Amino acid sequence: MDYMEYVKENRSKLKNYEWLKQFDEDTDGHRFTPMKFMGMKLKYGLDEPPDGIAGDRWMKQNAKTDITRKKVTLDDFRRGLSVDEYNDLINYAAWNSFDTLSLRVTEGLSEIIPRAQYEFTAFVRHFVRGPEFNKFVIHKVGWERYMRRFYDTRKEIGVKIEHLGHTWAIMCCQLFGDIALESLGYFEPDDPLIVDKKIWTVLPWAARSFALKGGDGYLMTSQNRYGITKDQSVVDFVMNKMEPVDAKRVKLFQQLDGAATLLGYCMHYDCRAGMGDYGPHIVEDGKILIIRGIYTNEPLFSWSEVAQRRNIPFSVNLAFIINPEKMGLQEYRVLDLGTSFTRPADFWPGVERVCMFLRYEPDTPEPLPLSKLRRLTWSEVPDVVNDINAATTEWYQEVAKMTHRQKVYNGYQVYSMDPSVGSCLRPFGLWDYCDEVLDFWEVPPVSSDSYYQVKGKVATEIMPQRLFTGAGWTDIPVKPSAKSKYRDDVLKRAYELGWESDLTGTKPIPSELKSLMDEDRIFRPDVKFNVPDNWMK
Amino acid sequence: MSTEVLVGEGMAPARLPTVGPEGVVRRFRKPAEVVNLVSTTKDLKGIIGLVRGGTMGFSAALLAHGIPGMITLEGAPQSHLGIIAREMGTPCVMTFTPKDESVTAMKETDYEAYLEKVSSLLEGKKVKFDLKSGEEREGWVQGLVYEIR
Repeated sequence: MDYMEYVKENRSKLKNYEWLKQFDEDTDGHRFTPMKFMGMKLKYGLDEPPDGIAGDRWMKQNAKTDITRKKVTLDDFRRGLSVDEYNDLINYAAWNSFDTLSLRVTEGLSEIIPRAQYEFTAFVRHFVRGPEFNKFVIHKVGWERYMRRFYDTRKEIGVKIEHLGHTWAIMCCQLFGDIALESLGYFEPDDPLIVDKKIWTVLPWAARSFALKGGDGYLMTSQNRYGITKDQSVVDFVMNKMEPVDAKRVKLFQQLDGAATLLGYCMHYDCRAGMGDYGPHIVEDGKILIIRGIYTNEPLFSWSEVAQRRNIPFSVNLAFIINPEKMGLQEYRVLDLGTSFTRPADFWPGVERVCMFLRYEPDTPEPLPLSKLRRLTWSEVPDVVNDINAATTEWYQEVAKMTHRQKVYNGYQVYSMDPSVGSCLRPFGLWDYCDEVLDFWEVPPVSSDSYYQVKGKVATEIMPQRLFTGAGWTDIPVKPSAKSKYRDDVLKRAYELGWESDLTGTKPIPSELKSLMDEDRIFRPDVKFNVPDNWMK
Repeated sequence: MSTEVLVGEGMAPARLPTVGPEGVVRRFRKPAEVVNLVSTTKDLKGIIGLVRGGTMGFSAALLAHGIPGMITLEGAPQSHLGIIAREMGTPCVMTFTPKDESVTAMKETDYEAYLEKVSSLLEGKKVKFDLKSGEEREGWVQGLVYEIR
């Protein structure tokens, strides 16, 4: 859905709510951070755009091509993107990362979860192995099925494949790994093998994001005034189940949301992969519907036993309607990470109707019918909250006993599965193969190396600075170099250590894939973009 | 008779309709201290947690046990602890900055000593939050902290 078009077309049916001004064509919106994005100045000597709607507009206006300004179509994928278009998407992703994460850099270190270190190690893995798995998935399922499954997840609730942040991450987190490795001198941006990895980062993300957003042509929520909608069937389903709430029930609902969100974050090692929003859906006279998935029990993680013992569902799913007048809403943003931020900061005073569902099945090959969700009643909520809080406490007690290295590996495991290509393996039926044959969890030697370089402030100061100022985001060159430091240094050393390839880890390359590897053991499947016009049907 | 003295302010993820909570500040440095508290004390009423970072993980068990309020020395409402506190409705003041300018001046010269000094100003003191009357800022609310003497 194009938000600006929708509001323009339906203006007569909508009340004159203040927040709807965020869809006025010429608005700059509000500022959520005093910081400005320095990347375009550092790279090209241009200005420093702010966050929000004004920043989005500036980035679009100052792009070399119209790939971020216009609505992307299937024909853009069919003809193939130009180098300038790839770079415009990378620059936009750099600004978007600043927009979503810049204020987080002030949060310091955690005394229990070494997140900066596991993130750093995982980002490196993302960039080294992620593009190869992207190719593998598309080789196996084809572009059409790849895109259709992401499109279809708009019709379901409570699965990880729908999570906005997981899709955002296959672009941004993979490129964070590129930034880390370039910063540490492992290779140059014109390295031909690295250019291939960058293209296989951006292209699968663009197609996946295009599909996830219903083919409306926007690849980031920030391009569409910070919104993304579910399929109308989902909106109708939850709207029909809505119940009005008084202050007491809002409190109970908030307890459920808070407890589930806390466990979702803990289950995912202090990461937003555990919770994601869809919206703002404009309903009735301009009120807001938010549909929220909170992933409280991931059976692929060994520490999920704390949830399994208590029969905690795979996901707790909440839908709620906000009356914008009741909270004095001026702007509602669903960031590309799937997190809501509002001005004023607290949306709870506006919540007036809600419904709650539990989902026990992890992602399935076909969307699970909405009727299979279990509706949660008010009388059940206190027990569910108690169970969830008990699981969180037990998780904490377990983690407090773990070694530093164990926690880094667990966080790495989370990042390998969720905010990465891993999140789509289960619904595509490829998980077992990737786990057993392709050594999915294995840490590449260059990731292990980089772990030691995290010390000396690389992860906690240099990396955030290079990520969020935009200084570290490099362009794809028009003509890559003939030489490859990645081949000559990184891969050579990895192969000496017994690494078989970036796709297969330490496992032998299976015979069915051998003929698709080049002389550097880079996976090169024949995957033409042959998606028909009716791909959504 | 007790008096209330404004000792500093920080960033709150959400505005509250009423003033409060009140409680004695307890500082947590290690996970074991958190585990020890939640294993031995069922009700955390009357405790305001003080932690250094704005990350969520370290405070998770405190939040799960319904700690009435949190103060952090670092982080912003966009940090994970800020997001969780908003969702849970837990009053939270992030990147607490003392009113005493001689202390804030230390921030530039010796950051670790500054954090230690700020912690010592709060630890063991009875405080009250005012997240009702502060100004609305860029994505957060000015959270005021009073010491009850």
